[in-house]
Amino acid sequence: MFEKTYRPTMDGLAEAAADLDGALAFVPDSAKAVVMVAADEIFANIVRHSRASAWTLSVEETHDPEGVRLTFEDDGLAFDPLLARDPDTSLSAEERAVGGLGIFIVKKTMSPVTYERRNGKNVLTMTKSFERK
Amino acid sequence: MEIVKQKDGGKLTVQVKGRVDTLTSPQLAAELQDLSGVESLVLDLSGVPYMSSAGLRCLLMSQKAMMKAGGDMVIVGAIPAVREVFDITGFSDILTLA
Repeated sequence: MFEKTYRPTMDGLAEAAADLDGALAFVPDSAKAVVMVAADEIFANIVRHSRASAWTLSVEETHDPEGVRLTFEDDGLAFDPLLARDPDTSLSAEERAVGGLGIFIVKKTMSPVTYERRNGKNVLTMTKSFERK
Repeated sequence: MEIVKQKDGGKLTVQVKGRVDTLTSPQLAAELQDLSGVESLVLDLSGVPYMSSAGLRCLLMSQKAMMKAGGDMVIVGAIPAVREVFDITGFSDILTLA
């Protein structure tokens, strides 16, 4: 299990992305890529919008089914990203808004994704299951 | 991230190497900001292991700019992990993937 606390800055985000890349060494490449994408969306939300003083990333291996679970904790403003409305993915390029896709990608690629406000903190978990070839 | 641009008349080929995420996408956005005089934009993503929504934002802005200018944009070499994100978000329908 990996766990580390970061500052809510772009430097903190860079450090977390590098650490996560290492912590996911046991995950097959294709699953690792989508986990990195999903994590980037959550990192960006925390750093840009939460006004947290610090945030923590935990990574743990799960079994039956085999997978990886990430937990993000921050002491910022209460925010449940799962309540965000899904973007309309059927619109044409001209009609598409720039943004709003991050959480949607998380919801579509990770299962389950959970949120709770616990002891003044936002706690988000997301799990990616995978099969080894 | 490493970006190599090659201009051949009205055709601009942009080769991207490395992940495209919150940290690196500003660099890609900057490289794709000025597309004046470009009739055909080719984005080679064969060296991109993954792309988050920050990268999709760059692609959408370029796509809109090229459509407005009457040009075209083609994405080549996207690996399955990158295509998966295009499929989920409906970008497979608004981008031209070769």
